[in-house]
Amino acid sequence: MNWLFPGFLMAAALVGVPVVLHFLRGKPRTIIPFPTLRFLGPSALRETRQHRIRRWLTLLMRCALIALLAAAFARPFWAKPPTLNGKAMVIAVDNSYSMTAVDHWAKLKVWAASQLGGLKAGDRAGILLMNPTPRWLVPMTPNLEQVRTAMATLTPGWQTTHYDPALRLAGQTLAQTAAKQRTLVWMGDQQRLGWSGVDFAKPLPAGVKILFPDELLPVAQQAAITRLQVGGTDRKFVVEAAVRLYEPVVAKRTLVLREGTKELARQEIELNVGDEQKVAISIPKEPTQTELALTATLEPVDNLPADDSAYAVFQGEQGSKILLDTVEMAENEADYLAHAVDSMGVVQEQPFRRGDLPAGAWPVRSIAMLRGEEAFGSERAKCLDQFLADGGTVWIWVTGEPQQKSWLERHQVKITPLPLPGAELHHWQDFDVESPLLSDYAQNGLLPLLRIEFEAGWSLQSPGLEGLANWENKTVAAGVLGVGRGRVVLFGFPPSRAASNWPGQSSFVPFLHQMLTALSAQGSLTPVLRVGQAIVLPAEKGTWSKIAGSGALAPQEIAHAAVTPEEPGIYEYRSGNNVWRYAVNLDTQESDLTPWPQKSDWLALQSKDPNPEMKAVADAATQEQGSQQNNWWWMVALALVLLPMELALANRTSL
Amino acid sequence: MVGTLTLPSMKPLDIELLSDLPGLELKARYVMDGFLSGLHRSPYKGFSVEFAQYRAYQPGDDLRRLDWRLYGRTDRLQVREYEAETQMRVIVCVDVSPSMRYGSATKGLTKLDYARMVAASLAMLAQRQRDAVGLAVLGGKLEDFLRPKSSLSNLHTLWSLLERDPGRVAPRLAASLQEAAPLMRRRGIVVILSDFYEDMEPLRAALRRLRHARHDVIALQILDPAEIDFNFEGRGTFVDLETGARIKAGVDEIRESYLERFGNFLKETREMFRDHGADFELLRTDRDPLPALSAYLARREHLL
Repeated sequence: MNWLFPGFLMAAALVGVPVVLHFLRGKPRTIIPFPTLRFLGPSALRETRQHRIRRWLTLLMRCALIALLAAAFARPFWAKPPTLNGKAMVIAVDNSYSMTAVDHWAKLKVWAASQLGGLKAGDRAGILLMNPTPRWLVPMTPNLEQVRTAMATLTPGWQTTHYDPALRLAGQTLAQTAAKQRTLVWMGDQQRLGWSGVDFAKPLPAGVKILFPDELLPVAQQAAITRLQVGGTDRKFVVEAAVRLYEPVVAKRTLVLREGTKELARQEIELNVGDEQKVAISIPKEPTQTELALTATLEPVDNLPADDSAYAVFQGEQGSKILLDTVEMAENEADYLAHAVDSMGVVQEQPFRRGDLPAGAWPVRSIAMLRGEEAFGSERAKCLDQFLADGGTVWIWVTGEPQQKSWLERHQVKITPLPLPGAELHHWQDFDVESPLLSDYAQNGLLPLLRIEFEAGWSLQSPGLEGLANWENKTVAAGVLGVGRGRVVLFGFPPSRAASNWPGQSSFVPFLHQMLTALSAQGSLTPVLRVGQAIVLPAEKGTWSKIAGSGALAPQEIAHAAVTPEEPGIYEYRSGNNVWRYAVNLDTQESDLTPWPQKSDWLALQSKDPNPEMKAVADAATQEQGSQQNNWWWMVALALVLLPMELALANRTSL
Repeated sequence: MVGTLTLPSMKPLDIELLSDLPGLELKARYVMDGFLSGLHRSPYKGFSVEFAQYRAYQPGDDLRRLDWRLYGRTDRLQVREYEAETQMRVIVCVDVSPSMRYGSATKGLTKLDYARMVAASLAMLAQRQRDAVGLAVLGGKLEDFLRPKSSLSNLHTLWSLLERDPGRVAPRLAASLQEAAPLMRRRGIVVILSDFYEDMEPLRAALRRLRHARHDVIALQILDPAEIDFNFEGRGTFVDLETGARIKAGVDEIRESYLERFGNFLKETREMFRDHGADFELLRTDRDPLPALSAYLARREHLL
């Protein structure tokens, strides 16, 4: 007999417990002198004998019960030595969107299907999708018809390619299959992006043969929209796009901008291979128009149409904008915050633009950064409160000025100045790395933050304050507070060199950018999203639908959810009068269809030993047999039968 | 017609006080006094016409036996006593086997203590009746034997023999009775104090022999309340005082069969004695022994 989880057999040592108890409790302690035993002799002897037998039986049952349960958890099974017969085949499918180039997908499917055709009844096959992470579309099965059907209906996705995880998983699976002949059918376009990161010096396991398709025809025409952003002023939308040419050396394309089916603008672009051509197109806008759902396409369509379209949304007049209050700078001080936000306007992934606090109502889809008294005056404070009531996000740098302090106290936030530093300056610590606002930054290490020295600061105290970091005296240095539908991020120090050395350090701008990105991703701004990236939707119940892009999506009613779009396009979440739009684009790394330069590299992956390693096969067979046999059920059933018997006997022997 | 003694209801003795009294003699006197105070007429009487002596009147004496003329002369109440026509011979047999050393109460009497006390009281009663009283101590053999005499010194000897510890002896009641039987030459009353934990057949043979010698037998079976009620609890190891054998058992599970078997034993014992014309009384060590004295007097009156 073999065991699937032999570690559980250690629990059988627990039989020692009832054995010890049996011998500890075995002898009655009471001695009863009696004139004669002649009247209780036979019956007492009989009873004593029966009692002894019952006690031994109870002990036996208890031991058996424990042993059975230990054995059941260890999953016993009868192992048969594996025999190698038939063929096993894994078809590893590169389902990235680069496979839609020209006729690559169709050709490779025919080739893979022809490999499947070589299998006969009794052989086993499976389909492994490579992207975004390896997953079995059809696990290894002798049902070849199921594999063929799945193969025939298979379509490529919108992900990028990573070969290595799928290569190793397929190799390992085949190595453990009890087949004479094991073949890995590599249905991929051998793109350089896919092979990058693969350790070619590490061949496939013994006995696994990998088959590559014949070389595919190179594409002749390939360009991609690599970036699309839309901003706005009072009178126009400004669309910024970047287009990269991959093939041929020089080409012309026309960038067409549409909202729905309505064409808004078109511009011809001259492209050189390898260069990213940036264009800015202005689109007139009505003063009342505050939203735009933009689709950009390249014409004419080239050999890889998937990346010839891109999407962007403009929501609200101040989308992706940071509203900064104005403060009077002290001598020898610079407006580090303004400089930092300005520097975020040029980054590609999540640019932010700076704006001033409007005189009237603040646009709710912006983030207000407040560090002086301006925003807390009586009139401005009304705008601030309304902004928060509508769901806005405010980042307050505490300076302790009277109006700021008064506003904070009104919202139950008490601030206390830190004591004057002695020889050691103040530091912040105890960062909540699980907080979504810090988690991204924390992945690169918190050391730069821990090294910041503070000359002055404020301890924050509020019943609803969720701490992000503490001072060394364990009071809160930074935290988040919910006010109305909005949020207030509080930092207990001003962004000035007088308070700390942080503004001059290299961590200042990246930290602010990460924080603002995290804040915007949580709903107030429009983030830049890629296919396969999760979107945390607002807490209100609403309808999730797709308004532009290929494919259709039936509107769904959801609440408190995160969604992961699998296709590019423009998605919308509508809750009452509030609408959130999300532009989801492809990761354009995949647009570069250049194949891996040396075929010999991937041919080197071929297994050096044609004979399968029997140990791996035996281990896998053991695992399979172990998981298939249900002997453990019988043991549990027997234990369940023994249990009431043991209880009945134990009750009779408990005197 | 032979007269019978009808005993009125007597106030029970304080058995705890009795067990606390030091010395066998004091115990015997306490029992005697308690016994006599319950009688309306004196048990001391004879039926001979030959005058023997006067003695002072004691409460309970038959007023018919007062000498009124002497009272007229001396102003003292005197009772006439006559020499008994037949002097009774009483042999008190006490079983000192190990089973008799059992006592369930911590401060109470063992069965042997109780038997000694009853024997001493009976001897005292008999001596006051002017009967000749003797003693047989029965154990693995006939441990001691005192010939019956009516003297006071004999009574004291009997008490001292009773108080002697015979040590650990084998339980052979019937054999020791057989051994004692030839020593009881003249007819008399044989009072046996024992728990009668003996095989029936040898005991029956011994009893038959005593009856053949025309002795009147009074069997006083002395038992501890724990033996009768078997009021133990839980589980334990029972140790046989006679053999040292041990049995582990749960009381609840063996109580029923014990009580049944013990009840059968009592019934068999009683029937055996009664079948052979012997009197039988069961005495519990937690109750006073007055019924034993009553049984003796009843038998004596029956003989006279």
